[in-house]
Amino acid sequence: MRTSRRPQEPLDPGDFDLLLPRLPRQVETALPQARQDLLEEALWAEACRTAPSTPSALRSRARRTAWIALPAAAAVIVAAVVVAPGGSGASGTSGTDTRLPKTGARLEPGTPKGLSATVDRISLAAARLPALEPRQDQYIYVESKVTGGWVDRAGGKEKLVVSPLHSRQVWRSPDGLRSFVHEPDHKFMDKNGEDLDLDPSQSREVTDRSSYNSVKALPTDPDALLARLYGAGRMGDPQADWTAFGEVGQLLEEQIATPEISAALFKAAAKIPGVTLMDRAADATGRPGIAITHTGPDSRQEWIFDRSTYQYLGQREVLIRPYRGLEPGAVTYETVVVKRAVVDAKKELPDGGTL
Amino acid sequence: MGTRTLRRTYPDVTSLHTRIRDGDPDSFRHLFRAHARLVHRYALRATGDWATAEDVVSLTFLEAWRLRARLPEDPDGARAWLMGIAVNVQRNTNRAARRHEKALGRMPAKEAVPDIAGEVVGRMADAEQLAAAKNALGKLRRSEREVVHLCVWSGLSYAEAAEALGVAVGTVRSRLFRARERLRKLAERELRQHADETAARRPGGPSASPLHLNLHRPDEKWNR
Repeated sequence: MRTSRRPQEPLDPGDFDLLLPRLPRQVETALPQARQDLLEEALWAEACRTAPSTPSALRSRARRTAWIALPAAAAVIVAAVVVAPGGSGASGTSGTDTRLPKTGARLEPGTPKGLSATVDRISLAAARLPALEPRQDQYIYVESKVTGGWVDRAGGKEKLVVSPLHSRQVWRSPDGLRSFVHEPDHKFMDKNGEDLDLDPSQSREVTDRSSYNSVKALPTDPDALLARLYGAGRMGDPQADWTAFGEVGQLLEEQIATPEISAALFKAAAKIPGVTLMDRAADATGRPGIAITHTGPDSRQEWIFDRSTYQYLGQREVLIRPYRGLEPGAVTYETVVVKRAVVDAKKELPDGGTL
Repeated sequence: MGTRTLRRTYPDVTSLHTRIRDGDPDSFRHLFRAHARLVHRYALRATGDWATAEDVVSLTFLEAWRLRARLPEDPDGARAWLMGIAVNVQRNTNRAARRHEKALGRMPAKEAVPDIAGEVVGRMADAEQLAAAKNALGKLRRSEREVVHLCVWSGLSYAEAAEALGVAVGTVRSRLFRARERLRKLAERELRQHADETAARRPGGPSASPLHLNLHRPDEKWNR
């Protein structure tokens, strides 16, 4: 019984006991401790990913930083309007691929051999690209082809379903506050695209650490950058290594960085333990290339680069052990960049048209 | 994972909130530990579905982390603040899921912890009652349903519920009052119908009325 009610309160919640169905007896303990612990770990890891780099109240504690919250705007390598090689060259939306999710990706690990030389070339290629600098009133436009995963719970068993490759276009303001996403084949997004603007009253309190402006302010010294990438994690801890590698991967997807920061990001990534080079890889559209990879507890992240120009093509994630109904070798996530540009308004396309 | 730190106690709760606002993940962990069950109970009753309830819990805390700068300084303010977020997440789960799409994908798979056998049996029985509860409240207006959830089932005070919902205390009181009256009427109507039904059945045998409205029976449409 609830006994804490003050007597002057006119309603006794007990009044409701007769009016509402009896609640299940196990509801009070419906979240088993082991389950709660797992959630706690996952949420803590998320918090670490996005913790500020210099929390004022944490002077003496072992501190780490993380600065990327959600994928936002800024491209790392392709810093000019570039139509990816092998792409159709058509602007605007791209057609939807109807192939089934890929399985049977090669599972043999890469090798550290040749990694540093390759990363040097990738960094050089990135540093040579012209800078693409949006004004504060402009938008960064990134068009890509992506697959997306969602969990199907029909039949009482969870199954990860991977959508076919489809087009995705994002517009983001340099401060990260205003954005528009058009991904009509997304499982539950509005077919006409969605404004994902942040409430300005909130954003003053919680800055977007993945915005173009924030990325631009990153250090170009690879070691300083590496410290940021690790956030609260310790280098050598498999989970922290995986996360740090993933942070760079997020930047590669839908962001723009200055050539210097792009180059620094690759050099920093190469220092993460467990990073290897795969000589044979293919991006989501089947273009062959080389890959920089990192293998985590469940899967392997792959960044794919053109074999001769060392230009970034895309990335993907391959399962190395069974997960949510999928077998090892299943490709759970893929993305290839089609185009990056600076435009003047949401929904405006680089060729001057509108969505 | 397996990187659990030892449970530490922070005697000074005020500074815990300050640390969370400053973005300390370890302090945030304590907030989760202290309130996970409260949020989960709410989510389970509001959604009537275990899988969705867990998503609501994850999303509530992901949102809480995102909005941490707004965590009230008052040590007792966390409950109402978190439940306010939970209510918003429950109102529009899809929107919250979009915002935290990637993070949600990194949450542990729901099959990761095998259920204890007895728990599964219990859950099957509970599922009916949960669905019945959700169904009964489904006949209320959303604003009324929310105060019932917060005040009656989650045990929040009127002041806390007012804080969570962003309304005046008097509004909470009147909504709760209206909710009670409406539920009474529904219960009476059901009793009447039940009586009519029994009366109709007496001469003509077991011809069940298709209009039978049973507050206590789970409605299929709520069973996802």
